[in-house]
Amino acid sequence: MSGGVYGGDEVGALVFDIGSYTVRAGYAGEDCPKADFPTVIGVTLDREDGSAPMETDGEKPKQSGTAYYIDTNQLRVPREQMEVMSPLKNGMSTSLMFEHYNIPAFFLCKTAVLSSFANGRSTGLVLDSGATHTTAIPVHDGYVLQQCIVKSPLAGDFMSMQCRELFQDLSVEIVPPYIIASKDPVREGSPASWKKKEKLPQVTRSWHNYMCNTVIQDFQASVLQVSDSPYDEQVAAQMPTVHYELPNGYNCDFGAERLKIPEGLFDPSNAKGLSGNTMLGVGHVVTTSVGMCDIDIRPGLYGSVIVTGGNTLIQGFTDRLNRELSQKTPPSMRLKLIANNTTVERRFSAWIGGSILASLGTFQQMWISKQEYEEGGKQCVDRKCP
Amino acid sequence: MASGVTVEENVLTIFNEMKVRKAQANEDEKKKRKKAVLFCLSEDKKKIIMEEGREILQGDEGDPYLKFVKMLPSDDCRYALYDATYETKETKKEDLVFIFWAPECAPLKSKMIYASSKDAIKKKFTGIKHEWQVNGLEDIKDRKTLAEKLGGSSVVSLEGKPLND
Repeated sequence: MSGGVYGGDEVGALVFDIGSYTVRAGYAGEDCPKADFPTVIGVTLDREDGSAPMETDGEKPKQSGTAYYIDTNQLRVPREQMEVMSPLKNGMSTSLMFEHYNIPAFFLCKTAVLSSFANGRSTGLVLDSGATHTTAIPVHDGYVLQQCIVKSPLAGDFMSMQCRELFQDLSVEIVPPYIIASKDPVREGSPASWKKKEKLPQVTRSWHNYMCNTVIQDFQASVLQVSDSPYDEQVAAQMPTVHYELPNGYNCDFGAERLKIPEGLFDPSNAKGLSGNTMLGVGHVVTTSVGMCDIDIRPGLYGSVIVTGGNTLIQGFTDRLNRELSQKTPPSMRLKLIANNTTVERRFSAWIGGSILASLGTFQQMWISKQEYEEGGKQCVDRKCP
Repeated sequence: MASGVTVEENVLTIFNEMKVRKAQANEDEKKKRKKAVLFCLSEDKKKIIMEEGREILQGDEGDPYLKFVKMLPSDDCRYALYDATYETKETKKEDLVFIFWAPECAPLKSKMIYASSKDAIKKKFTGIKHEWQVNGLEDIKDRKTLAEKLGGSSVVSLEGKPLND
């Protein structure tokens, strides 16, 4: 394929949205990514068969023995000496794309802008709460206001950490499914009774931790809920309980804990394990970001607060956010929260935006071709992809 | 960030016509001037064109704002130019407003294309002072929002109708 102008609608393009928890990838023109897999790589040494290498730091595996696994199924099978690591965030660097993979054309787009456009708005505040960060990104007329972005580390991983501590306090051991051969039903709250599989390979620490994390993340997704108002002991005690069973058979009813853990997202002052009170709750992240913007555009931002990211799917998140923001903004300010109800749209809104954009007939002239890159260098990317 | 969609010449002509407020002696000519126009994407989604049959003239009967709101499709996005007549305590004014209509129930593809092409059409409309991004029928039905955009709290009436009723 030459690096020139492409013919109309016959172009095939790939769209990648690399997050810290999952990677969404697929073909342009489709309504949802074909591949949605965790952003981790399994690396083994001394194996014969190698799988498709994922971009780590731009170097091809030099040793013929090293293998990289990105497919979820393969990664969940216990193997000897398999380390788990996260690829570098700079995996999508321009030079990597053009020089290493020899692609004919390339374009970079800010996820916040795509999410905003996918919701029919060219101006708005995108609140993205994912695994590692909760970020408020103001978008004005299709451009990100870089200086007004506010980031907080309180997100999915923070909650996983709190869940881990909860289990530690209950003296419950997190046992991933791969170890369990069989389990016996036990009464609620009693210690688990299970049998270990025989002939398990000697797995690495990082892999074991990865598997434990998946157990905790499942607990996180099914049990936790954000309360509508700031956490209150008495209200929480009356909360309906949810019954959850861990892979090893330990089961328990969770009531007040369901509300207590996610409270840390909105009100970090009570959360355990945080040094000092310098963390911003989600409501504060939004108001600080808008506060840094020009006063004239603030109504436009508050009028379109777009909620995206997997972490926002916790039950009650958007209602609580709505409440917090209406309390913090002046009464004359019109506040509107846009939160897509479907899981697919909320987690994939940026990807879907990219997919539609890349499939537009008129967009084909916007690609940066290999030729342009060779002539212009990296600067042409900065210029053409605002 | 743009999508590469272009704006047809006709659109620019219409804009210029609406912008210029000649001291018209001729009543007939004045009536033919456009009050509100809708723009949409062409069939092949490559150009922004004026939508046929979707316009309101100055001389038309009835409340122009209501008619304008009725003209907007409930399930697709549009761009619009609306020539608003409003009064403050001191004076009576007319101003052009660029409206970006993107209802929640429009298909995602439509929202995406219209949002990313908005920059292209807005650039052509030089000198526009007011822009409005509307995403639902409730928002656009409320005249007070438009009035606030035009002149803040000093606006007392819009299209001849007082606001506080």
